[in-house]
Amino acid sequence: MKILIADDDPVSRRLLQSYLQKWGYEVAVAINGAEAWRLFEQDEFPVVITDWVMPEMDGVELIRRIRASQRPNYVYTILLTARWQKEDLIEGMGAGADDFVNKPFLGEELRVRLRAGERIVNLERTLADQNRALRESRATPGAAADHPGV
Amino acid sequence: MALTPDPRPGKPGTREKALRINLDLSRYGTFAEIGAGQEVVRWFFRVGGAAGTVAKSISAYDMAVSDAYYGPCERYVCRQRLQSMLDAEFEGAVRQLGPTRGDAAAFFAFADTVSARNYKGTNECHGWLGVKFQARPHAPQSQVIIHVRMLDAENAQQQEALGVVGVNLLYGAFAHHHEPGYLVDTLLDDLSVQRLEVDMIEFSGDAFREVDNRVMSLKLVQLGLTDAAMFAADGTVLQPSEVLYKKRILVERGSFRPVTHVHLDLLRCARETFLREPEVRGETVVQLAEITMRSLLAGGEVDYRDFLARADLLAAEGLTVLISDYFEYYRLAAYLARHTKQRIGIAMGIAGLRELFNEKYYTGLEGGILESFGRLFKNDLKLYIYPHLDPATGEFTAVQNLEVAPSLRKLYGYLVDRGCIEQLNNFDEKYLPIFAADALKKIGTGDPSWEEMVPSGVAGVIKHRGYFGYRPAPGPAPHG
Repeated sequence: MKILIADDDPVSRRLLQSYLQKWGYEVAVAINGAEAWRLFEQDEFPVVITDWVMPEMDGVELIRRIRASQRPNYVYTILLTARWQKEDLIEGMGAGADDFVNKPFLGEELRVRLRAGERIVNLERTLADQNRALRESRATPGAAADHPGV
Repeated sequence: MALTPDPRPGKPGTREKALRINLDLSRYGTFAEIGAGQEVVRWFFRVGGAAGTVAKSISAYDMAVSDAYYGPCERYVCRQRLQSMLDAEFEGAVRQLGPTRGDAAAFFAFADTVSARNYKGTNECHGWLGVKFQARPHAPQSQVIIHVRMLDAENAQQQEALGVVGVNLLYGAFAHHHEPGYLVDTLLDDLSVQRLEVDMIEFSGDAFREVDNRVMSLKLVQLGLTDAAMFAADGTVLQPSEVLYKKRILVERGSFRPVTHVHLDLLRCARETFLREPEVRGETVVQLAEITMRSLLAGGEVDYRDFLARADLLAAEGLTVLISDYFEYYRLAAYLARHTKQRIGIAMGIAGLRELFNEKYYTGLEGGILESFGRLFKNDLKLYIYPHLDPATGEFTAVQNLEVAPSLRKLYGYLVDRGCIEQLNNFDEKYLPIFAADALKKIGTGDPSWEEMVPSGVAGVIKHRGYFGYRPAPGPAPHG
């Protein structure tokens, strides 16, 4: 699975990258929200992990844009931030973030949250595939005759 | 009768010391005291026989009078003033008395300039004391100067303590100048560290040719006369408050055994980050390499050669050294904050930060770890943290992923969030795999790759002086 990370702090970027690669993910790295948005537009990323406070474009704005984009597949977003007040959580989740991880973070905590995100992404994909198959079967002439109904 | 060293144990008391000096017919000189009465010379008058010792006693209390005797100066309780007093009085004694008594007398000048507790109790109570003397008649001059902090609550008690330490200094110089380590040990005879702290001592001149003042600074801390002492890269002993007063301070604690690229990279990163702080930008920063007594006692006893090796390596990099007995960082912070209200930074590796969050160190504090952090982080003190790379697993640890005890995670997160703990992000990747312990081991086993782990200047000193068990590689066998 391909993950996009955005963080202006080089140590955090390095940490995230080394963890994700160790766990078998393919990683793309951006140094701020604007660069992350450019990368996002050029490729498909099922998961995006972003810092909140960054120059040029912050993490919340990045997530808003991702939510507003017309992508066929769901994108799971995690805000990884030193902001820890309840109000921050509400604002971040309100902007469309799926999860919220505080810095400093434990590697294992991030890993299990990523797994949860992966499950949701996979579920969304399965559901989308099934819906697509259903739509296609309904659109096919004669298909209805196989299921006369009651 | 000449002074004879004390039969130990059973050191003489203050009265006995003063009397012995008075009865030593070869000692003759001047007492010049400013600021807390004439407390030292008073002992010599009280015990009797002063006529054979005291050639002159003076207290130039008025600034104009003081300037007339010793020259103008900006401050009156400082090292320079003490030195001008010692120089003027010693030169005067030799010039005026030399022709008549020079063959029999070993001249001396004792001086002190002191700020004892004022009426309102608002001043810093401290002072400089010194003795310039001839170890024997016609001998070249020698000198010992000390700086003291007077901790008694009342002016009268401070004066009394000053008198005792002055007698101890004089007696030590006369009776123990051949054994300066013991002289240091006797400075607080009849006193206690609760009453008086000696935070600086400097030996110079003929009788102390062999003395390394860095070792004497260490002795002050080792013997408990002070909790911290300092010296500059050139070996000059420093009085801490003169260096630290109102300054921005950045400290790196380490064993520096040996000094490696990592030590210097840590300090560089921390300095660059510290200088970006709004309160520090454009200001002068005092940088200190701190070695704790615990580090020096790691082998059980203080190894002075090992200590000097570390000091020489730090000197090779131009660093000022602070020797302290502050194992707990909050105590170091309190010490530094005593001298400055400006920003203080402490640079450390991630391993040090992990230890900082180990509650076992705070069982002696009623408020435990919370109290220690309350004390540490007041006055906007900040920790600058260098990351760690495990060469075996490749695991990278930084502030962002440091694991602390579950019960402390929220506290840790709060301190990081508040900016009390900052990850350094300008480190040099290539130095991350370097560890001082590895370098030390390689020096001992003759593995030449240690040289890549330390700055070239440091490598040069280690090789030149054979530190840490270094032996040059054997040359090629002769042919034929």
